[in-house]
Amino acid sequence: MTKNEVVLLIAEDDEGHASLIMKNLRRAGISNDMLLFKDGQETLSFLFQKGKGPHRMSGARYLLLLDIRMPRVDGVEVLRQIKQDPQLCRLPVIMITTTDDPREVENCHSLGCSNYITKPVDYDKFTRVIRQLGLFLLVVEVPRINGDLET
Amino acid sequence: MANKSEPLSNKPRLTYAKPSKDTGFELGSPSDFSVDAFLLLDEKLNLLNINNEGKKLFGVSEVDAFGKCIVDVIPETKKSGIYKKCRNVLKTGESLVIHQELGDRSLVVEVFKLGNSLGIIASNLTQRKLSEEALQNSEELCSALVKNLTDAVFLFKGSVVTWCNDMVERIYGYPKNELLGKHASFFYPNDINPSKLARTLSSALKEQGLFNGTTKFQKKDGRVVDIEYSLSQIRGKAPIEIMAVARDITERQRVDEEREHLLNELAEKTKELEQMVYVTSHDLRSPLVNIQGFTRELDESFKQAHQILDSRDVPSAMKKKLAPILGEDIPHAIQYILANSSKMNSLLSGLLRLSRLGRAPLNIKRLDMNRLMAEVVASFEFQVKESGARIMVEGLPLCHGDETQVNQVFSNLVDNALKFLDADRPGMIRISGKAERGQVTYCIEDNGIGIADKDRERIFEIFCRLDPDASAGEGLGLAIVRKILDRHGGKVWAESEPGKGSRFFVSLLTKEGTNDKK
Repeated sequence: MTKNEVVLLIAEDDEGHASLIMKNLRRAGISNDMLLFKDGQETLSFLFQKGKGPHRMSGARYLLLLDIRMPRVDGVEVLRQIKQDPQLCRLPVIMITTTDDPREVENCHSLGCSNYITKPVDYDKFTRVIRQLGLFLLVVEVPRINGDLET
Repeated sequence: MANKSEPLSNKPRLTYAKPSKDTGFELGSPSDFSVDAFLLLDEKLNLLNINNEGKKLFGVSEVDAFGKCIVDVIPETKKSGIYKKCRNVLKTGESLVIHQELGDRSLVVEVFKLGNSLGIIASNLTQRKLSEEALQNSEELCSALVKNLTDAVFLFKGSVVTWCNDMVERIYGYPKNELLGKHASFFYPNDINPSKLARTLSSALKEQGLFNGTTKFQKKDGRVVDIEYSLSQIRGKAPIEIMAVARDITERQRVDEEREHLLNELAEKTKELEQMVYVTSHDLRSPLVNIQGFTRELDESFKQAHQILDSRDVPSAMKKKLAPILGEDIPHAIQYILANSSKMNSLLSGLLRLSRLGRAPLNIKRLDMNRLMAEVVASFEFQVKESGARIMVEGLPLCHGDETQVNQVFSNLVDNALKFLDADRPGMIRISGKAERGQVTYCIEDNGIGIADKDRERIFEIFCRLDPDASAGEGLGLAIVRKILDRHGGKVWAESEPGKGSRFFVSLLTKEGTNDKK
């Protein structure tokens, strides 16, 4: 299996931000499938295979780009639930957020996020960061998430 | 003693020896513990006995005097007519009291019949007068004190009020006579268990001799007041005597509560405001990411369109029309959008930084300011070299504060001093400090361009930039300085002579304790 099989999950309520992120990932040479979720609830339903909408495939590789400030269930709560789950805790989670508040960063790190990226308003910085993320995704070993969860 | 010719008020009584049947008088140990003189004479008025006080008062010695007639022992008795009066008492059996001056002493002499003998008690009034005066003075002082006291004072014997001052009426709202005789439990609310209270009080009184407490009391008119009282034990053995001093603290309590309430409200509001600043500046950044991002996307697209314009396929008439639009108008507009969203971003970052500063916990400790200032100055080495300025640091007194934040204060001030030097003269910056009355005041003095009077307060406002073209920055430095000092219970202010230089003063506490309302 190649690393390209990894599916990128993007949890981002702001369509513009999502579009900019995806555009720049593509430009950075990331051709992986991408799935967009517009809030934390949708993201959790997919990951925990609950409710309507698409569910994750058992045994597949995923990587989650997670915004913090989202309606209904915020990113920190999504991260917390993922890291508490014996299966999902292996899912790499990269926080992508507008805040660089040290306390928020620390909180996410203590909850176990893999990386933390601040969305820079500066476009050049933004593309640079996303491209770095693309490179990161090309080299990172993403584990499979095994086992079936209750549906 | 019956039929005294003059009443003797509260005169200390002597212990007399009892008359015996055969001798008429049994000579025991005659009252030598008494402060009064006591003489015992037989029916012929010869001296039978005299106590020590008597010998002292009349200057007689026992050996010479016994058995001699009183007029021989104390000649004054004849001159003053006491001798005659004594004989009369013997004859009539009626006691008598007379005042008698003896030299510089004023005596009260009491003569009475004891069986067949005659007793004489002489009190030295002079001495008593003095001690009575002293007693009276101290009583007056005491009563004036109690009278003028704004506190209520009670005396309890056992558990019952036996005495109280006038203030009790005002504080407790009951007339004095209604309070006298009241049991201690009357002064406590009904829901207090009296036996439990009694146990608490008596054990405290036994151990410390006093008890301080507060309670509520319903006055006669129904109003409930808060009472603060202290009990002290005057007599520990039964019947126990306790003095209670009480005051109405309702108003004080109310003011305290109101103050507490206002402080809480203020802290709440400050928190709310900070939260609002935080959330809005945060939320405003989100759309800004899009504005910037898509403007850059647009820019890219237009650049591509511009390149397409150069290809041969495009008719020259269209090229001519589109060239200024794609080459000038659009890039010009985009440049403005980007510059302004960038500026908005830096303003929002400033707000975020400032609000974050208000929420960061303070780690207050003793700061060696000489070391701290050396670090600050060292961090400006490059700017100092470049501007050719000189920074002089005098010996600085220590203070208490959060090291990072205090460093920030002086970094911002030194940065400003360097930034606003006058290009026409060599820059001089002098840093000094002095400590007085628990406060330290540091001064950063420069010979820069100075600040106009009208701007001296404004410069501490957020985003204030007096001359945006002259220097870089967000207009945050001094706002941050003021915020930090507010949280430290300190102050910052500026003095300046425009064209000559400025002095920035920072005051901090030498001891721990901040105004921080977290």
